[in-house]
Amino acid sequence: MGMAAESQFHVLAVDDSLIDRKLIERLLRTSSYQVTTVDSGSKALEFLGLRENDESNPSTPSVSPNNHQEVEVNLVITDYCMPGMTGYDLLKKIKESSSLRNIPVVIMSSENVPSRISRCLEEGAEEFFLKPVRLSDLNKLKPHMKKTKLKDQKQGTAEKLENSEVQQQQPQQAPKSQDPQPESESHSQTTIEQQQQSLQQANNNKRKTMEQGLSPETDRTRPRYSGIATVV
Amino acid sequence: MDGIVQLQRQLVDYTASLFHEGFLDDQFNQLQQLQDESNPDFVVEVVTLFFEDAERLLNELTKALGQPSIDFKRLDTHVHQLKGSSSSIGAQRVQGVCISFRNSCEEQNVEGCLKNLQQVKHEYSLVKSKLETLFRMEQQILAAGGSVSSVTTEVHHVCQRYTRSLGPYSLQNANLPNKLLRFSSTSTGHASALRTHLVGMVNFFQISKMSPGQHSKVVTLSKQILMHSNCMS
Repeated sequence: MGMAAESQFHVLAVDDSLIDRKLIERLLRTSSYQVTTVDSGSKALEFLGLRENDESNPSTPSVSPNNHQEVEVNLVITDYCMPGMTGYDLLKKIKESSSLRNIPVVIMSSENVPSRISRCLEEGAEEFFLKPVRLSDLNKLKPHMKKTKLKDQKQGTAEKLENSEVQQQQPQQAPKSQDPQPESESHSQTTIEQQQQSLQQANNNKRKTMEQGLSPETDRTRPRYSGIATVV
Repeated sequence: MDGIVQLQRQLVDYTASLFHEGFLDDQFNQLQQLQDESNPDFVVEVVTLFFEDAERLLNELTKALGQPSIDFKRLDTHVHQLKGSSSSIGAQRVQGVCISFRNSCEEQNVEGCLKNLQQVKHEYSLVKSKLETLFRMEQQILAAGGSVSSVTTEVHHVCQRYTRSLGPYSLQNANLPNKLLRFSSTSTGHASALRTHLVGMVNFFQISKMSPGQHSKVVTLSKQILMHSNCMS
């Protein structure tokens, strides 16, 4: 899988479920993306060229990953619940890496947990999709991928981060706000980071629409299906 | 040619009935949409993976519940996986039972878990046999030289009709109950047809994704509609 001649986008999909890998791969291919699937966070990092016992200090400016980024990845889409490294852990590792932090990350989860969603978005995830993911969800991906493609041009493609995040459930308070890595501000690729950060803040402000007021672990409080098969 | 057309008709009706009865939800329709000439066996492949996965998990669950000291965390992990894969192929009833099953695990309720295991095995075997029937019918059509993609298209239109009558369905659709009401007032026809259609609609969407508030509204409203339509006819 070498560099594409045309400007095709390459997505790395991470999921421990074989069925879901097959699904996401098909969805992505149907949307004309190049796809690589892996079944764990550590394999994802390996593919991205960042080994876990990497010698290079992640906070060193402009470290080039060990020889492995011949394959450009324009977006990482990962399941949240995975054994070992969760999607959230993977997200963190990517955002902490100077070489990888500009790669947009999308989280998927079968569970609608508002605190989980906001935690991921605060950590830098671009989108949070509820499973099962649909073709229409993938339409939200292009703008994020285009952003990284244009990163060299230092311009603000940031006008339209699709803010259809109204679909995602948000809590009224953020129970655990994690501080962004302070070291990120000292690096040179500030334009993109600043944009991403200000976008994040903009998103934070927009995320107040909470009519639903779902409690966390909504799954548990939902009525049993068998109880609702409607009156027949 | 007549024979093929009839087979295709039967397949459309059969598939629609599976949606109506809540065995399958819109996710199955999504899967069918992803199938094309370059991936002609996509649905069968994914569903086969589901069967294998489910059977493995059901065995694990049976074993885990047979232990002298039950590991509820482990149990929950397996149920979570089963819930995920059933949701991915649109096996709605299986998914529904998994949700209750997870509640029983959380409560560490052995009786509940045993009951849920029975239920999930039952629902799984039902949906398995229905899907196998569906695939067999597809094979018949293909063997007779007919096309299945036209069937898929028609099934898709059935799903669209549901969606159109309710408007775009989304998790945030607080208007869902009102739309149901509007639909019922504009639709004509026999009460039982309305009932079937209404049940079909409500079962068709992923009920498990509704909030408790939304869900109870829909149920109440459905009851009202049915009562109303009973009076009218």
